[in-house]
Amino acid sequence: MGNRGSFLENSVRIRVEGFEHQKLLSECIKNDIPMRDIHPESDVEMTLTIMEADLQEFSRLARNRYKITVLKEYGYKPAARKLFGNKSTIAGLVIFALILFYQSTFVSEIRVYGYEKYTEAQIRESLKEAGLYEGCSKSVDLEKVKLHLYRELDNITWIGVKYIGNLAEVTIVEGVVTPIPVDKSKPCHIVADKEGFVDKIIAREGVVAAMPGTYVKPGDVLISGIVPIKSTAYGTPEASLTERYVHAAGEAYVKVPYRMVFYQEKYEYEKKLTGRNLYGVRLELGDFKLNTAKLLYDYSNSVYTEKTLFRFIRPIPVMLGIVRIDEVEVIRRERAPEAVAKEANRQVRQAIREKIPEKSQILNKSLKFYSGENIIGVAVMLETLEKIGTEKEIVIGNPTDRGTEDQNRS
Amino acid sequence: MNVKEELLFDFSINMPRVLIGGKTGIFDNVKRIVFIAENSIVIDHGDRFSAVSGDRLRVTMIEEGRMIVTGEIRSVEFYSGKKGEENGK
Repeated sequence: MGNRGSFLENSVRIRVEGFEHQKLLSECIKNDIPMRDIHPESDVEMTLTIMEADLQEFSRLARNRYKITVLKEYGYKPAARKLFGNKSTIAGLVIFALILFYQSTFVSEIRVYGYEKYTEAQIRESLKEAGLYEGCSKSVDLEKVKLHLYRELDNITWIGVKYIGNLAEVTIVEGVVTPIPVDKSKPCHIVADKEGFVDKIIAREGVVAAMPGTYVKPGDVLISGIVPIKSTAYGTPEASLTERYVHAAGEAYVKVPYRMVFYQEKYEYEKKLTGRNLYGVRLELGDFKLNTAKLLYDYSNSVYTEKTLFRFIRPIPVMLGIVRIDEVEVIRRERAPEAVAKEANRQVRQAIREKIPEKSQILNKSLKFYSGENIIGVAVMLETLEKIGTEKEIVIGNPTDRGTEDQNRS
Repeated sequence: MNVKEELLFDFSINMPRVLIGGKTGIFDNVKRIVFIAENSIVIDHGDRFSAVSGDRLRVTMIEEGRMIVTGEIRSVEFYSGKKGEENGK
């Protein structure tokens, strides 16, 4: 008996009509034809299941004494034959596979993780500028996207972009600057962490090292932790000690000057509608982009408005919108001084929010306007009173390293 | 089992070997089906016959000399065959 497969592969349910079924069944047993679910319906009719490969042999054994009718075919082979025998099914499967493949070439979702200082919207905006947005092609160069983010966003220490299917996962790690406070038991200086003119220094421990009016730079000692002493233990080894080390503490206030320059448009432009306009349709299908209005566009100045009818990311990125382009006449006129001053003040307020520490006191503010060919420059001078200072440990060399110790003492 | 019983178990290919459990009966060494109906099936094992009686009997499988019968099995009988036909049951 050769390999005839199995009932799971391909089997047939047949009806056998005729007398003395037992004789046919016995013949099948004799010829090693496996049978399943033998059901005698009546004295002249029975149904049973045999493998499709045995059907020919079964018919041969039955000869013309029995009438054999195939009722149904079972197994994965006929199922596959039925499925692939239908041309429309094949066409549907091919189209389905193509759609699946096509949609797998687009980014349908972006998730951003790890942001703290920045908002998700800022990161997404930056990603969009770099070419990574929902609906974009996955062929975008991720290294370029990372470089763009490093350039655009400050204090980013690591960026990871990876695709999981159609999902793009963007993980960023922001740098954290955490000053390590000096142990209270160890001697330290208070040093400047920002440049400016010393206004006043209140030393609770240690010696004031920078007088008011002195210009200090980051790293300069404001309150020294090395306190000179005058020993009265004459004639003893302690008499040679002329200083002691303390954990300096206190407050230092400096006046910090800021100079900022902003630019504004000298002229303002008014757009006046001429009455001419045209409508169009904008269609985006994956990388295919069509805008009928832009094809017919011939205005020198115009206002572009768009209303999105629908936008899908899945299964493939599709967008349809109605476009309207209005022709406008642009009229140029010089801006009023009040408007320029108002805008300058707004820019200054924004700069103060962004650049100057919250607890600073603004001592002076001056604005100077100067006019260029097409721009107005606003030079802003600010003077703030800021509390500065950070602890810096005094490192004393080990006993064998006298050179370092001497250097520290001097 | 002694040697004779072992030999009988392993090599008696023309004798009925029957296992009945609940609504299932397993018959080995099936050579021929003498009679098949919903309430009775008679099997020729070569040297002897076995007959199973019951209701809604159905042969679920015949393959390699083994036959599985399901249904309400009421009784199984054995008959002498061929050589001992005159001895009856």
